[in-house]
Amino acid sequence: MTDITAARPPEASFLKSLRQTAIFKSALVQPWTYTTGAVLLAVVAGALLASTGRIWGVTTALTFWGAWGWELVGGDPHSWTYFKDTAPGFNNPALNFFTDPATMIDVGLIFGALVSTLLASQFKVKNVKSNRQIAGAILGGLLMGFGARLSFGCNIGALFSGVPSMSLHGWVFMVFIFLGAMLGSKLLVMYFIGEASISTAPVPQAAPAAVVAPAAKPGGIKRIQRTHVERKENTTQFPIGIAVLLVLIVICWYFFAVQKSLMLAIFWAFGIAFGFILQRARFCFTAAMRDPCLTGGTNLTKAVIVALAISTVLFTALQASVLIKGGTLDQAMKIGYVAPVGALHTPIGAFMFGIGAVISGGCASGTLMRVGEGFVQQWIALPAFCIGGALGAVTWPVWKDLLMVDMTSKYFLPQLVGGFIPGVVLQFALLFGCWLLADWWSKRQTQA
Amino acid sequence: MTEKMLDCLGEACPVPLIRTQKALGELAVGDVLVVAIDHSCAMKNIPEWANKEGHNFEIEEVSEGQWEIVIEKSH
Repeated sequence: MTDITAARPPEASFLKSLRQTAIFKSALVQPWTYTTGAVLLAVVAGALLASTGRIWGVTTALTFWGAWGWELVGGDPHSWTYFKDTAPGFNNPALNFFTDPATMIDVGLIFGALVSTLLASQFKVKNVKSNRQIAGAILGGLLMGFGARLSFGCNIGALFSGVPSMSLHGWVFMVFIFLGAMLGSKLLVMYFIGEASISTAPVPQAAPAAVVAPAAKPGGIKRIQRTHVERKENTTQFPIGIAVLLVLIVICWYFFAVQKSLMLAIFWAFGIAFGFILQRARFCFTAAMRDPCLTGGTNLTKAVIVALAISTVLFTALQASVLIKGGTLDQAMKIGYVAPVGALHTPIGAFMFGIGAVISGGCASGTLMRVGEGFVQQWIALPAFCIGGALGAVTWPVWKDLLMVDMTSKYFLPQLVGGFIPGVVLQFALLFGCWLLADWWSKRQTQA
Repeated sequence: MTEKMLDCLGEACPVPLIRTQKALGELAVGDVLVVAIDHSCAMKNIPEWANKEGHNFEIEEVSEGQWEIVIEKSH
């Protein structure tokens, strides 16, 4: 095997040996632990709030994309009362795809994930195996897009930003996305996966010894009956990754220096950071909600709770600084995202979102990350997500009344329990309770 | 001892893990299951599950974005 490397040009073997170094491997090739991902996501989300005063959201921009698409085919989304009532910025004549910070954080996320896979030399266009996956992607995308409008947010805006803001809405969202993911898991297994393709491995042909991988590795397992591993000599994608990263940096500079928009530059950079971290750690919110029931795993669930706890520390510190300066609780709750819980729209929307995330194979952030990683299933889910969002926005006058949306029902935990400190205590008690529950569940699963 | 190939190329999480759990359940102790995957999360959650369950495993990077997880049923 070594003769292949010897025949390569020196650059290629330099990159190849670089890829073998321990630090390169653990930083850029092997996945980070979920806990590393959790800590970094929480810190970056806190930094975004501290530097811009805005929270990380994903679906509002996707709804804009759907509405702009609607406009392209002759519709008039600017007449929709949804945007007038909930996102008046949409009707600003200066707003378009290239001037919307929320859009740039989403596009940045896609490219951040792409750079991450390229630097690891693991980019591949991953086609779907079964048509059922296409059906799941379309249906799941529509459910997520529509559900996120009903519930005023997704797993990022409502959950990852809402819960650390000590918003009752965030907690209600979390309960119902979990229930939706449970039902989604059942539907996925029943309808959205094809037949398993399992076969007996081919019996070795002549002279297997020359091509078989080492028979036993220290601490590893014996490899039996493998003719040989169908292994292409890995081409390195690292230089392409660096080139893409440089282009992303130039775009960031362009936003800042040419467009004179610090906001666009910051959102673009944060999007790239989020995408990079999500991909490196394989941080999947859908799996955190789905795996406890489906496969028994709770590692990601616990990591999400850790991330929420760290973000809570950062978010509440920013809120406390408002109070220290003599602000009221009403002013403090503006730091973060406290959305109206209403009566029915949040549970129903979160439930739909949970189902959609599982059957499409990714939540809001997961869909964008996997678009960047080359998953055809998410290339299909993303447009469906945007269409679902547009449908949710255009039907707002109907469901607003039907589901009795009350825009004033914004509940901040500290106001519900009579003080900032009791609110923070309740918040951490709830998070700790969730963590204990997840821990108990994983132990119970192992024993069973 | 037999070796089975489970082809999960093109399948998204959690399908490869569910199939692995089921396929390994049908094998005898000492048998080997080779799971072919190209889902970047499955290359993390299948080994994690195998580790938690106490099976021996190896991760082979077959080509860019494509792996084979080799699991020996230990119990």
